[in-house]
Amino acid sequence: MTEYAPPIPETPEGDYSISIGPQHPTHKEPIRFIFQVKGETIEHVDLRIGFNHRGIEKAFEQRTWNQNLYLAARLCGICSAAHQFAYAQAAERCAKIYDEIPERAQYIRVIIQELERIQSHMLWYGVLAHDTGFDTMFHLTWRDREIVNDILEIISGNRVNYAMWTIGGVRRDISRDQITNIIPKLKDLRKKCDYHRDVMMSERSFIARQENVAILSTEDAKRFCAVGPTARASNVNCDVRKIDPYCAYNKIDFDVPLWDQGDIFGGLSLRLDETLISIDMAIQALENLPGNPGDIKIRVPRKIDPNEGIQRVEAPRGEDIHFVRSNGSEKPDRHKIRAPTFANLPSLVHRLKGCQVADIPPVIRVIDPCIGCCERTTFVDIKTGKSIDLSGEHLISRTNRAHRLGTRVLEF
Amino acid sequence: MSFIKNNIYPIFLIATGIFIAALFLAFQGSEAILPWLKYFLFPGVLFVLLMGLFYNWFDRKMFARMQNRIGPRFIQPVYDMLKLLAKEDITPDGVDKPEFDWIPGIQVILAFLVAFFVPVYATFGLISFEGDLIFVMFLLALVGGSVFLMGWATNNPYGLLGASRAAVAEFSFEIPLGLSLAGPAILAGSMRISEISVSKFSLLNLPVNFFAGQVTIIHLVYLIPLIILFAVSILAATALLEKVPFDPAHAEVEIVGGWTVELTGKKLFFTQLANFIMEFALAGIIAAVFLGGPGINDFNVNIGNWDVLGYLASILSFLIKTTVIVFLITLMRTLHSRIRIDQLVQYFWKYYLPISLIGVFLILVFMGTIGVV
Repeated sequence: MTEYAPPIPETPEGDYSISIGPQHPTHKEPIRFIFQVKGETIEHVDLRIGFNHRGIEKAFEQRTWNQNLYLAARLCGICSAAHQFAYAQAAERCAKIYDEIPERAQYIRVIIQELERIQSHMLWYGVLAHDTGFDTMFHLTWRDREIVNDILEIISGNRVNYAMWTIGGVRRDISRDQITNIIPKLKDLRKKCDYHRDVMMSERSFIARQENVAILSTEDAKRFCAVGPTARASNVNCDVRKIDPYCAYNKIDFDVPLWDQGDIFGGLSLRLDETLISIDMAIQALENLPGNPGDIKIRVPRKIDPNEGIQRVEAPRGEDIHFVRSNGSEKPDRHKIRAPTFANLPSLVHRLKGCQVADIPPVIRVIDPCIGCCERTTFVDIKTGKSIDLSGEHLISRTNRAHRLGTRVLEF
Repeated sequence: MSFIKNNIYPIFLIATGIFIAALFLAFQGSEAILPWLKYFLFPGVLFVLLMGLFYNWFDRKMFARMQNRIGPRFIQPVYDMLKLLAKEDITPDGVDKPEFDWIPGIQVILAFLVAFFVPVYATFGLISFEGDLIFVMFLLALVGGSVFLMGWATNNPYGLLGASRAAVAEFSFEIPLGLSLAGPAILAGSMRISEISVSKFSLLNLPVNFFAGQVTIIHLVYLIPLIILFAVSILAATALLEKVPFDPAHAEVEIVGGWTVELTGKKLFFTQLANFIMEFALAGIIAAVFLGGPGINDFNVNIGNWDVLGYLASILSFLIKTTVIVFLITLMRTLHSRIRIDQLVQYFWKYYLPISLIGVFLILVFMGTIGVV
């Protein structure tokens, strides 16, 4: 996608500017930060997104409800289950069958969600260790992450895109043999995560890089609408699992850890705690799996009557919102995603100011950015610099015209 | 045991190399034909080059094994170097031409020059004169200066950041390193590396001499300042080599290699080779100053012509001591995360410099009260 932004001014505020991205060892996905630096201190941050825009919301409108399940899983590599889950539940709300989902399916949904949270958090703190140069911890955590990936493979047959959900339930059951196989592995994993926690919370050079760096106060977290672990590390209780329970989360006993430092170390401690709690939750849900084997889904008609459905889901990165609107056909009329990274970017830009250049990788890492999820388009008039509001019908007609005529129609 | 079993090939190669070196030395000692050959073969260029590559492999292998990885095979550093030589050599627009072209070569020359001061098989190195410890410190400062110039010549924001960080780091670790090497020199009463290495009062020779009955039990109190200074010298060497806890000048994840960011092909090969050789040379000099270099307790004074076993023993002793020091540096980078440049300055000026001053002060106090007999 072409970048229509004007060229970056030379050095308005700092001594010089350094550009990190779109391709840089810090970033696993394309995003560009331009830092105005004075000495080693960041004076001003400029952010460019849009290198990875895939038009996926439009693609949702061109596929059937069931096909969209597998498209939703491709929104993100790490939290694929969360996106697919949010889409499936939004569609269920749209079809008014949300209360009829079998209880066993709801528990299996909880198990997959928590297993995904474990692998995402383990990946996150491994990469944070790598970003601060602590490669040993990076390799050890990623070695132990294989356990949870193996468990997910036992349940779903896949290590990354599990494709477990369907509208009306889940696609695969968890048998008694699998449960007896998985629970010892989870207990083993808990010991290893305890060890990671001990090492990471006691290594002085690792902590020195994180304490009192990029502090996000509680007021700022609320002001910038931060979500997920980023906000919880700033003592904002925003866990959707607790405040707006979905599937079986109200039947499972768990705590939401909160930290009040708001720095990178707070984010790390929080995620280390959450990993352990998620392991406990997965064990709890596996041990108390209700219902009869095989009773995991209900039939849903191919066409959904005109209605709207919205679902909030606590993805590993934070609150993920999917909105669908049906028009009575077998395809959704409109699909809208608000990914957690998109909600956390304003607070990230705020936190980067005043940091040192060496803090850039861990500070960017602390919101766990997933650029693939969060890419959205805004129409901006270059001459005035103001964004242009377009209605949905206008946008759809413009996309159709662009499809026919090429990019010439982009000019106003 | 399994480590030895898995690495039988490198161990066999090293053993063969040491034996050939000892034979070469014995031959040199008796006949003294082609005396300049030692500058090119055994303690000279070829040996230093191979040792640099060997310690690079050792460092990487140990790093990998401690992280539960397999690590590179023995020949890997050679392949890496050959690959870099075969790569295209790009000179970007806007770099300062003479510095950019020449500094990588100068760094290799400086590294070789430092390595020539290392005593490998006898008490003295290839170059040895009164006060050569000061000259080695001067060469190390030149390496730091070349790093700063290199980063400045790249004319790249990452390179400039890396260069300024490297210069700040250089100011920080230079004085603790100098003080930590000065302590044993004061004890030995000489600034010559060969005389420090045969001193009765170095970290390793002191207990050995105690059991041999040459020093009394009261002299063992010197071990306290020597251990302190040894630790500081290892930390400063880690900073000089830009290894992980002290490598903000090189940080890959933020400034993409710092001052090396624009180097490609041959130039990158030269800077990396200079770093490998410098690791060997620093380990050798610290081994000579603190651990008695190639010999223990005047052992190698008795080496005569054709004394192959004597040469073998001294080379082996040197290799083991150097390997231990390289392992300590590897351990540092395994156990810690990279610290920021302000933290590096803080650590060195606030903690390591006073600690090394206390070490030197303790040595002076003990020399005044106990004396060196």
